[in-house]
Amino acid sequence: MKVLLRKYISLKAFFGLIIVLTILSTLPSVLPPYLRVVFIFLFTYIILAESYDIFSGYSGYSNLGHGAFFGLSAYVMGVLLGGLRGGYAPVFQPSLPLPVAIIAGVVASAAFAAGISVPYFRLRGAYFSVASLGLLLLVYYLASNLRFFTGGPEGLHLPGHGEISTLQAYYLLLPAAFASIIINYLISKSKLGLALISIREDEEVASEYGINTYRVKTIALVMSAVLAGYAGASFAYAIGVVNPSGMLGLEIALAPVVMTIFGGAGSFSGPLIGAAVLTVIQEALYTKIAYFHLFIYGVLLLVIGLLAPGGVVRLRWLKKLLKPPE
Amino acid sequence: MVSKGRGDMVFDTHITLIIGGLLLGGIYSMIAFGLTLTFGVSRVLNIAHGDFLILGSVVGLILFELFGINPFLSIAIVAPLFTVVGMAIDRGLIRTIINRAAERALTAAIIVTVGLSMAIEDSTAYYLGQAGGWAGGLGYISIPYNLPPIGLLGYYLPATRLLSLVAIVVIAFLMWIIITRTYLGKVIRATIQDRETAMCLGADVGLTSAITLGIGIALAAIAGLFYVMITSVSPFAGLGLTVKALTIVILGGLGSLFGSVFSGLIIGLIESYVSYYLGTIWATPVSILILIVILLVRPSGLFGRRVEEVRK
Repeated sequence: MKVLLRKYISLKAFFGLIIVLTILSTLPSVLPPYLRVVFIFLFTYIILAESYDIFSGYSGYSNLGHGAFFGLSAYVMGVLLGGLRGGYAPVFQPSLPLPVAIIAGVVASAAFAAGISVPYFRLRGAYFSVASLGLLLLVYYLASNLRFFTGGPEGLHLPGHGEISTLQAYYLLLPAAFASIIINYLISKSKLGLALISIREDEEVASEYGINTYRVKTIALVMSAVLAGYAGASFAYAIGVVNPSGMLGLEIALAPVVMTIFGGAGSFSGPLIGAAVLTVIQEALYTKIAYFHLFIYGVLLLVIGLLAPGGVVRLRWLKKLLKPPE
Repeated sequence: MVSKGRGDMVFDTHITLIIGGLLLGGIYSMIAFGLTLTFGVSRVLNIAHGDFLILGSVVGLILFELFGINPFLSIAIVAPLFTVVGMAIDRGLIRTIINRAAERALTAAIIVTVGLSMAIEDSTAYYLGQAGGWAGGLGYISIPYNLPPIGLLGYYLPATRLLSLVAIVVIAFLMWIIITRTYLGKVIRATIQDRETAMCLGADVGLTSAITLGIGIALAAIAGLFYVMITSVSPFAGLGLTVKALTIVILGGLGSLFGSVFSGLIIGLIESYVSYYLGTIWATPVSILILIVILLVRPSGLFGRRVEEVRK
């Protein structure tokens, strides 16, 4: 174990991680409820951004439909937990315990990712991105149209939502956020990560050198779907309402894309920085301005795309600034 | 499926559905054609393409509500306006992206055009909800412009839709002349086939890219004028329309200009029938399911080239 740790991470960083984890896990007892929710958002966005990066950052395929995994899992969880549909007589209303519901949600989104990889990996580049956006729209429309299962546009109201469920969700999301950062880091050091990066540089050459590109891409996509699915189910449990615009809206679907690219795609630190900075900005903006969130996101994306396509972590002047003087 | 009208005249369900479907298909063809054209020439897939349809319908609505200009006449204002907008976007945004290395350019193109799309959608929604207030704050707009139905061979035909269809056919004819009979069309076709060689042979590829983006965006904006007459448009529908245009492009075969027009008509007809028999809420999901089925069954599309070529 110790050797394994040394291989990937320095002991200093390991203890640092443990200290941060301890602080964060004692925080909810001192935080006011509003800030607790802010942290839940932060953890969700970290998981989403890191999991988006696992597939898209390393392989270069921008998966704009990443939110579909998030929303699908949230819906499966909501239905299995026995969510109430306002106004529609439910066709199917079991009330399974929370862990079973979350696992079912994660499995559903992983299966969805595996299934969709067959047709979708026939597309490349920009075509893949737009088609994956279509996936998000498909799940969105299914969620609002299959009223008897999903409660339509109004969505599902989860039973037993309150102070305690928010606290539970905090402890569900905190370890997952750490796990997603670590998984992303491990992938960057692994053979899988190397294969993904070579696909990003040149898919034909990677294939010539014996990489089963289809299998590598599918594994990465399923891994990112598992993490996003877990985030979706836990986040939905924290919020207590599962509706199409909240779980599958553009704001939550494009957030990981914006955050990852803002921080720097294809690195474990980029999505983390992006998620942390933009969540804080977003919270500050919500309280000041009621409009123009998407507008600000859009302009931010545009400026990053034009001026710093590598993201914040790859800015040369910033690197120079942070480097300790010799 | 025949309902009685006044006198001997009747509304026939299928005739109405086919006219509606062809019109919707014509609108889709216009955006899909523009998308294929601009992607072929500049190699940048403009994800904000569908938003220019929305912007076109917003401009149409403003002209109609404030100045009382007939939507068909406002084509004369919308077309040049959006051509200039498209050329400005090419100069300002797309050009800086194209000059990067291929892999960088791809990611940058997606980021920049998604960002553009979000910015357009949010500010349009804000404008429609606040300043305009036409939609009662909800942001859904439509132009209440209706001509009385025409009676022909004992059937009532929807006149506004027929007129839109005629206008689309005229525009398609103009596009056909531009692509096949003019010097500009020749350069566009050459650039789509091989950008580097076209450049070597003295074609001004930069200017052609700008003009093509202008044409593509103007086509989308004009399509918006027709679209807003047949349905109510939400400012957030733009991305969905881009996805639909892409579905059509893939169905027609990537890079095939004729394929995108033809399959646009097919998708329009399918959606028209799906909307009637299953409800309008199923039109978009069905078209995305069609995309998935095509990718499984025939990834090169109806008129596509060989798969290896398409994959690049």
